[in-house]
Amino acid sequence: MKLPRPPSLSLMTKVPLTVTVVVFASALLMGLVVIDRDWNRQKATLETQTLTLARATAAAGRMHIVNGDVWALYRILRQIRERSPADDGLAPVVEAAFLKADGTVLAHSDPRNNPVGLRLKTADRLGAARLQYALKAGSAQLLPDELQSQGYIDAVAPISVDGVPVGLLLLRGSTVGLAAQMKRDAAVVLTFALGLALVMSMFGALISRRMVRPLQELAAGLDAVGRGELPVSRRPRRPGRDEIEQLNRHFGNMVDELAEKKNLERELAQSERMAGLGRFAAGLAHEVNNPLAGMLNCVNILSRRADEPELVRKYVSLLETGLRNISTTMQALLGELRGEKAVTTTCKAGCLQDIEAMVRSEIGDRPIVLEWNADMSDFRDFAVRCTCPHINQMVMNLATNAIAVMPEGGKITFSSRRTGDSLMIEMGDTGPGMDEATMGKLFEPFYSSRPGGTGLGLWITYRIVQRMGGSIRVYSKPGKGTRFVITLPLVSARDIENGENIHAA
Amino acid sequence: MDRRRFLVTSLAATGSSVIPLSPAIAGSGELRIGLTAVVVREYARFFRDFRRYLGLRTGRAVTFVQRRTYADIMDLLSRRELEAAWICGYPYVQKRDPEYLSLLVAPIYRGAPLYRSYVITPSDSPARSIDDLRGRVFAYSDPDSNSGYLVPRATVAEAGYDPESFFRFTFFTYNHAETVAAVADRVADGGAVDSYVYDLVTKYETHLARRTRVLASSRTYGFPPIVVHNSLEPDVTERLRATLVGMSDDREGKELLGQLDLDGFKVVKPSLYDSIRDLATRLAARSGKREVVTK
Repeated sequence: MKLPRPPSLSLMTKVPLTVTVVVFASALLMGLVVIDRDWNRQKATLETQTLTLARATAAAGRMHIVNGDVWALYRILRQIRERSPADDGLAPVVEAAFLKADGTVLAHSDPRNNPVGLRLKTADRLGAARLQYALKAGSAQLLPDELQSQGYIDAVAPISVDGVPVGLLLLRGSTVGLAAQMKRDAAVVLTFALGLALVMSMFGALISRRMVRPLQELAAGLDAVGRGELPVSRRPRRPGRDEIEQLNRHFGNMVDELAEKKNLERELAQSERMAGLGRFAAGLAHEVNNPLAGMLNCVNILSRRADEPELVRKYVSLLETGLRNISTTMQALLGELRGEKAVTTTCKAGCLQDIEAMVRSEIGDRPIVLEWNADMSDFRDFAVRCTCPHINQMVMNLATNAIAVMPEGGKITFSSRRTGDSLMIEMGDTGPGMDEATMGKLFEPFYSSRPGGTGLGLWITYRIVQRMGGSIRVYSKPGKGTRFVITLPLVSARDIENGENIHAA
Repeated sequence: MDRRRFLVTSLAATGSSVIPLSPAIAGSGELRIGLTAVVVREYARFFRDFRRYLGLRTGRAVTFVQRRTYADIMDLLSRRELEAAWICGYPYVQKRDPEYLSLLVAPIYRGAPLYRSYVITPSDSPARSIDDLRGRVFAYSDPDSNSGYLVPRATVAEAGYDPESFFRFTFFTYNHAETVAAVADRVADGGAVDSYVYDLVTKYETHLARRTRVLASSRTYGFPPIVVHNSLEPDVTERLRATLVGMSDDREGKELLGQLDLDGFKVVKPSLYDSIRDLATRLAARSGKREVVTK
């Protein structure tokens, strides 16, 4: 059976609670040990006193027994009872009797119930055994433990004259007073333990407050860091010697470093954005400027030789081509920039199969091997948020690049498969690969590493993947080929049933 | 606790005597007066005052001598180690040959030199008469006491029982007040006491007396007298007698008498104690034993 876990308590509660329990338990334990020892010692003292009193009383009664002076014997008993109140340290005598050697009462402290001249009455078997033992006792002694009763100390002192037993004294002391005293002591110990525990719990609360407060502040700080905020760094009030203050200092340092790093990152991102924007503007300017030089040349020639219809026709045609080029670029750019909103239609991943033919026709008779490995078995109930032309454009862009970097021939590998909730598309080539700097600018618009490229293909691919909620990564090293990995999230068919347009491509 | 109780307890049992002062022997002899055992030490002031009172008027240094039993005091008297003693009527009537004691005075208690013997029991005792004490424990005061021994034994004997076996167990307390305590504590089921002492205990130790009650009261007997040894000079004897008899006439003497709850002392005839002698004689005859030797 499993025990319910105790509710987790804060250190603020645990520390004082633990201190209180430990202090209370130790104080109580020590007190009880002391009381126990005291009880044993006091009882031993009481026993000694009882025995001594028995001896002295027996000696005092000896001659009166010989003389048969029972009144004198009774007066002795009355005196030892009157003179032993419970609180003067002597054993309080509760019962005493002088008996003849045959057990006949000569005097008894309770004469009403123990008349003189009769054999001593015993209340029970234990009392009878006690009397039997006492009558045979050879010397003054405490009765053996098995004959003692709870709360009493019984002693016997035989009295003899010239070696002949003439009687004996029975004496019964009480430990009731002692027990009451021990109870009072126990109450004192308990009060002391409780008081000590109370004081120590307040002390513990104080300590835990001092210990826990910096921890709480630290926890709050860590929480803020976790949320992405940077708390104001907390420095210890004084140079830390204990562990908590060291921790606090390290945390402060960490927060400072994090803040610095975040600043750096922000600055870096800012400058990169500016640089990217610069490169974009330069690329755009270059794209427009390139045909402009030839077109200006054409205009120049046309203005000088406008009377040559043949020439005019030729140069106007050239102008038109140049302007069309610019227009095409601008349209592609605008078209891509306009279509920034997220794709909401879905298509079955099976559409990928149709692209193989397009890639093969693009390769044509170049000496390139295509390894196509589209595993579509696992996509029955899933779809990708996209449109088929997008997927086709994406794959074709990558394939065109791969074909272009391998004019001498090589190998292109394509694979698509499901990994968990994603569709993973991989395309690799055995081309020359790229260095780090090239890879850094790979997805920027107008960046092209080969002559004649528009520099927009991979940028557009990147944006399509982004809009589909996926990611694209590139792995490449100079001389080791290039590999693109595209990951696209899959949507379960059940989720898209209601109202969404499913392309069964 | 009132000291008068103890004084009276002791004085009632024994007595004192004084030797008259003559110029030739003034201060030459000590006047030793016997008393029975009491806690005199605690009543030092009364005895100091009484010694001075008697000493001034008799011209002799007075000493009080205490012993526990009547027998001890009688023994001292017989050996002339006391000049006088306050004794009980019973020892007084016992035969001495030759007689060496003379009756000096007897105390006057409630107007007469008389007292009684009481048999007392615990206050809650079911006993209605001495007969009901048969087979019980009985406390005597002193074997030489009239009220505390002779009278109860005679009473039992006159009822037709043997005083030796009538009670299951008997013992002596050697003091009338102690007898009251023995009965109050129920050590004894009954006890015999001097009526004068019992009255004083009732008066001054009410808590003790309240635990007892009087079961039977005897006829009156002569109050325990003060006797002198015959060898005491006659003039000293006369001076002592005059002093005691005259106590009720002066303020200091009255004060001392008041502490004893007595009216005074008077000269009585020896025949006052005849009834005790008769009792002892009858008891001896009845029991077939030579219980008392009478004059």
